[in-house]
Amino acid sequence: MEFAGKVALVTGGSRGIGLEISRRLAQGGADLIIGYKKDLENAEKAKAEFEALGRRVQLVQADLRKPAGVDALFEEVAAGLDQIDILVLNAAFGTMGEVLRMGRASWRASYDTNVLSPMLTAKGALPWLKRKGGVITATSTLGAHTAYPTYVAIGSSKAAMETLVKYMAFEWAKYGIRANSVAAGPVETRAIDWFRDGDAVRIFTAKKGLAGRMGLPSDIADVAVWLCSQQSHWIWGQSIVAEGGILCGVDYDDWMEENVDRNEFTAEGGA
Amino acid sequence: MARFDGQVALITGASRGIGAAVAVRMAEEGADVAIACLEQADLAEAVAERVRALGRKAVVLQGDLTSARGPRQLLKDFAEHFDRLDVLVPAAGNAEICALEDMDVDTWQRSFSIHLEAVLHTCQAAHPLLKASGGRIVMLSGVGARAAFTGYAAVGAAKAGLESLLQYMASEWIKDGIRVNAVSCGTVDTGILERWPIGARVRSFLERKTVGVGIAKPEDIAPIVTFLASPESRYIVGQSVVADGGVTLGIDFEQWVRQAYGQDATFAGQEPS
Repeated sequence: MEFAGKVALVTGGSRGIGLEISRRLAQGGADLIIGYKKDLENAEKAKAEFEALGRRVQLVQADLRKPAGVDALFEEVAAGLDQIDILVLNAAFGTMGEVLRMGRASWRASYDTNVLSPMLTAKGALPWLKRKGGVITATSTLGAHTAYPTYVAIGSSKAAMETLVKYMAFEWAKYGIRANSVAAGPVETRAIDWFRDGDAVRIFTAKKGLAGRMGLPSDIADVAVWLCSQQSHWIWGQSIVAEGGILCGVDYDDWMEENVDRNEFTAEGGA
Repeated sequence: MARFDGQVALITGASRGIGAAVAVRMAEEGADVAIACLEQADLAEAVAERVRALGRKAVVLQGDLTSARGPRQLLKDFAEHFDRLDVLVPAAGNAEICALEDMDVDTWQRSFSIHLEAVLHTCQAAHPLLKASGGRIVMLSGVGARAAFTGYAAVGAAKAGLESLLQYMASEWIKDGIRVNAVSCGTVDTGILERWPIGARVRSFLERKTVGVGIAKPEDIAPIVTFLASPESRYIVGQSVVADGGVTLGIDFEQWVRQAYGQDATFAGQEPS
């Protein structure tokens, strides 16, 4: 098995894309350290599921918005599985709103969780990752590459994170550590309904995207886990965009009035 | 008639470096100029004198744009001297070199405060005046946002955030008639190399990589900023224009090997000297 004997730390690993990444890593043979903020119920469920596969699973409650939360996380790792070969930087937070409405506090909160914390988390994991060489994979968003509505705090902080990951690759290659990001287009998670009109995001993704449906956490986990695997060993410091083809091409017909019928789509029950 | 006649530009970080060059260039092209600086008011005043010598109005404004009230106070002070704002160039910055392994929270946060938060909040504070005039914002970014340079993570990541912010701001504010763009510079000879511990190595690198154009001076960047602030660029929206003298363009295998291994390098198992 690809990940047998390895330990993966997945932040925000108890739900959404993070859970799906944890699941695939566990299925591939990895033991898991799952960081969660407050969703103990889902974390426990994941633990039971992966233990049933014969994996060791350590749950770590951690609030990664604060540097102290990062320190606490690694104290528990040291007292627990005491090994990290794969680090998945997935925990994320963001305040929705337009540029003009972004206050100092909400802006900082987004950057603290999405940029500062990945920097500190990777630094914290470094002593373990250095032991035998390791891999860092971060989950990002297409909103870091193009502007989404009301998404500036998340999109721009993830752009900063992607560049941070590039610097990790640049500086830590000498330790045999490979770091990359996956930038996800819209995916069916709780976060979609943070948009003013979540259904518009679903419809757009399914209708305009070449894949013809809404994205799922597993679509992104497939790429993220591949980036964690030896299969991607020649990819260093990159961000891989995975968005179902929503940015590929401009179809004038999409903008023809007679072709826009939202009710027809929602009557089918969505993607 | 110059293209910025009757217009007013506000430039932060304008006491020296790129900001100072932009202030003078804007004045040469007809604009009155507000010169914002953190502390070196004497340097800023010298820039203001150069602007006045060109027959334009110049005012020096002082303040810390990383403080909570700084950006709003700056625009308040600005409004006491000028009744319009056409061009905002948030050029304040201070790049610190630090490897990620040695990075502490304060160093990291200082970079994001000045290179990103201060820009965001200054642009927000300037929005009403810029909306009234059909104004333009020209940010200063760096190629370290897209490629990794030694010790540049805190600045590079903040500038990547800035380039994304640029896209959001441009797409949200174009309906207000405000155009937002950026110039993404390579290393510019502003005096910063003398403050970097690795400055001599960087200069040596730049000397070899910029053959034909030379190491960038602030005066090389200023006209690109004024172009993006001018009507000639009216169809450029939300873009970051790379101006690095070709430093990040292309790979020269042979030059690199000669630098690392010497003129007579062959492939057979040589180690860098």
